[in-house]
Amino acid sequence: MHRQIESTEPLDATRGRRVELILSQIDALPTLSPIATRLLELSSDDESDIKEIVALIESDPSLTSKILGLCRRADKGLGDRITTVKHAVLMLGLSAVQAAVLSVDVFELLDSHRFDNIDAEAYCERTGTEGLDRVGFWKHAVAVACASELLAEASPALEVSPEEAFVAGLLHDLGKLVLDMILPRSYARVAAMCEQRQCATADVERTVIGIDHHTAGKRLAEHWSLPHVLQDVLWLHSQPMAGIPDLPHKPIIGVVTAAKGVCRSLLLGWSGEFGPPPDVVQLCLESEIDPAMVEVITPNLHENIARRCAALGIDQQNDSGLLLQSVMAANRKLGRMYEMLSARSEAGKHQARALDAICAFHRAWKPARGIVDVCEQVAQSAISALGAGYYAILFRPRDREPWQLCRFSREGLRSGAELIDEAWDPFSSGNQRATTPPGAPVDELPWLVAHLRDVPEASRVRVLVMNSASGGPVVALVHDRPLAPPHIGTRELSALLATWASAITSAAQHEGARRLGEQLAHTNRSLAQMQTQWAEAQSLVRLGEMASGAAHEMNNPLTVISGRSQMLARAAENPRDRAAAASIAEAAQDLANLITGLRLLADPPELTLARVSVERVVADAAAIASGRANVNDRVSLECSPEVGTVSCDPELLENALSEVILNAIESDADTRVRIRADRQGNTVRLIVADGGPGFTQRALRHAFDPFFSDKPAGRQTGLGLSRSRRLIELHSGSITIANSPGGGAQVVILLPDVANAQAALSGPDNGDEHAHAA
Amino acid sequence: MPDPQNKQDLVQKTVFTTGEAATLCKVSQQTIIRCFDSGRLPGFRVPGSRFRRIPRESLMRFMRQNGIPTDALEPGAKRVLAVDDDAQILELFEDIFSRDERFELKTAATGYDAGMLTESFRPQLIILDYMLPDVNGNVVCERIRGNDEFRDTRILFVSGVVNQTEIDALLAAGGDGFLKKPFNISTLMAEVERLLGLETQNSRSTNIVG
Repeated sequence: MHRQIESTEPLDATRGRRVELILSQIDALPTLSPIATRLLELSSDDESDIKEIVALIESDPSLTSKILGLCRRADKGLGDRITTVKHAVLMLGLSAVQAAVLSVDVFELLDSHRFDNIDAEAYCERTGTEGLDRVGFWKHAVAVACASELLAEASPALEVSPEEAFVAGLLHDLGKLVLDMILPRSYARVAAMCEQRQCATADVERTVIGIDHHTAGKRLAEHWSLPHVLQDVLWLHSQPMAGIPDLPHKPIIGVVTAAKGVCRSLLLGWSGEFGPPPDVVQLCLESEIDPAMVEVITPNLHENIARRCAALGIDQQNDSGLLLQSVMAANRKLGRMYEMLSARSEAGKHQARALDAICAFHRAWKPARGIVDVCEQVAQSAISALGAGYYAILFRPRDREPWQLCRFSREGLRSGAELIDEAWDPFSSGNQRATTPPGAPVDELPWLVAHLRDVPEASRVRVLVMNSASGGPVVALVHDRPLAPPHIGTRELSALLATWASAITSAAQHEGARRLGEQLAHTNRSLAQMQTQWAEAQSLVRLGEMASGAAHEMNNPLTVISGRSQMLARAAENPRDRAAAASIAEAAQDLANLITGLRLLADPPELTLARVSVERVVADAAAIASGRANVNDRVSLECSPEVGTVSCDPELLENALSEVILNAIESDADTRVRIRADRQGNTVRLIVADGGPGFTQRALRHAFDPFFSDKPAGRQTGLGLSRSRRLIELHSGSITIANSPGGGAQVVILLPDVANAQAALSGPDNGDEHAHAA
Repeated sequence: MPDPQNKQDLVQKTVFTTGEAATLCKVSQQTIIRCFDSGRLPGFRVPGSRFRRIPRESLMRFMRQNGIPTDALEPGAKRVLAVDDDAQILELFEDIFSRDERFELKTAATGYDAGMLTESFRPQLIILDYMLPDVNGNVVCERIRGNDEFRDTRILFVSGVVNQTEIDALLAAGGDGFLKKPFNISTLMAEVERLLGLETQNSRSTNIVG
């Protein structure tokens, strides 16, 4: 039973589907030739089967020559003597031929199965890296095969067949080839990333592609029905031996792993691995191989590899050529490493500078500062991080708001700030350049150039947007620095820009919040005022609701009282009884009137507007009040000439004014009431003043409450001023009460004359002179 | 002035001559003839002659329209229906109307009873409260107005509503008058007399159209 090791790496759904796709593509690869398939089926040295195989192989001359080439082994001194396939089988055994056939078959199959690699080549060209080097790959494979073979031979205690070790070594990294064939572009990226990061390939493969070459190789081996020993080698080679389960094939896996280590340290071929070469001695010990054997096999290795390569048709080269090539490869690798190191140290310097700048910026930054202060700080930070130059900051807190431009001196001190109303959208497709360093040339933004009077050389100034999303605040750096590698790293620059942009944005938000807070405080104040008014209005509404409900309940009993008392009055023969009954009827009527008043207070009638003389309305009201108070000559009226007419409901307005005038008359037993009327623009002002004791503090607060009265108890209270106010407010007017400095009360009524403009056109019609109220 | 016997005869008649109409209306015959000829007092001419004749219904309507007391045509007590949900108020109405021989009063406490009594009692005047336990007064009023049989029935609303809009709505529903509760009894009687075309007890209405 073949044992499998489950992968424990969790795969998300997308990656899982992708892996499935890759695996199905592996399954779609061509299968091995019939000869190889047949050979793999043979398990014994059965004479008839061997004859059949030999015949099969010999029927293909090119296959024959390759197999014979593979079987020639210099170290065994058999090379020239093996001339036929049958000979090879007899001399070397079936397994050797089996291995040779398999090697040739797999090599031809995969090497001839060429995919379109244009994408991968383009990618490599662009990134300056190399993808999978096929010749190098096969050279490495042959090298590992030879080393495995030699190690197996040198370590008889492991009981690993050298031929099997050869095949296993040759095919150990098939997975890489497969992945490269299926996903050439992705694989080129994998190779480039491994080279840049100097790390093991399998991890990057899993990250970029989803599966590593171990899995891909195992899948291919299963697809081709390769022997289990090969499947396990493809699956488990190059892993720490301690982590491999106790399989029967564990020794051969160790041999291949050790051989690969040897070949990598000798830089034989292209291994596709870029991590540090493993410690060969350690590998040998883990695989129970005598480390001394490495020294023993190395002298023969190059020659063996050259021979096998030639046999497989990879690069015709002699062994010294191969040696030279591996030395050159080592040199190249060293050179690349040096380049990479110096680039890294440069990047490190940039990073350190950017980091310093960011730290300094954060130390100096205080959250509660204004936008302009923060902009100045950004300018100074820019000078220290990007070098002295011309800087300005363009800022817009919200979409469709004007741009704010902060200009700075060369020392980074504020030299001017202004608002520019310009609908420039840096994120629209035409302005993409403004968001990538070093930014768009300022010449493209004439509206901005007009505001940059102190620019030394406009052609070098660029506008670089510092944050990357549209919709929110936009911050742009106007500068004349060459903000691109190698002067500054892209990542360092974007970190700086993001820091500055978020500082400015947060200052803007802080300012916005502060403004909002002030508005809120203001709103709160007016809310508190409105609440008082609302509470008053609400109490009126409640009063109205109560009055409406009570009216029906009260009206019927009142009707009975009133009706019955009238009947009694009619029937009474005694005049005193008649008078008593009549007074009951009157009292009932008074109550009914009060209820009516209450209901009208809560639910006032609609105004029937008419344009009437102010003087006439006031005079009529004065007459009504005088009549009710039963007084004469106590009210005087002064009308300034421009008062004219006002649009109002004359009956209701008279009603309202008469209550006010009556209140004034009743303030004192013999006070005179002065009414003055004038006009301020479209507002008619009426002032009712009396010479009474004035309003008490309590009255000033409650004068408009229904039933409030400061008059002696028992006097008629009623709805007086509250009704007045209601009616005046219906006219959109206002009524206020105060005490005159010289004593006495003063009531001021303001009436907006809404239709006054029309009246002015049609001419005044206040010709109706009216006598002053008596 | 026609003698009582003559007047009794007139009460029975269904068609009147212009002279009889003049007597009933207490105006000159010439006035009746002018009104007849102008179409304001609809009637017919006797076939084959030029004599004007006036049907009883037409004369009744003419008299009411012009505020001419109709008691000469309809002698006896006027039928009045008072509708209110308050029993004490109905009692008050009974007291007021029972002292006056010109009226015969029945009362109803619900809109439903009001409808039934309108059919059987055929009141000439309905005193209607607005708030009733089942249907409101305006609905009762609309139903009565919807029946052509009662088109000459007068309806007087007596209610506690104070808002002019509501009062206007009651009149629009077909009310002939409105009186606010509580009311002055003299005012009530004057309104009743006006609606029924009765001579007031104090002065005689003489606003005849010329």
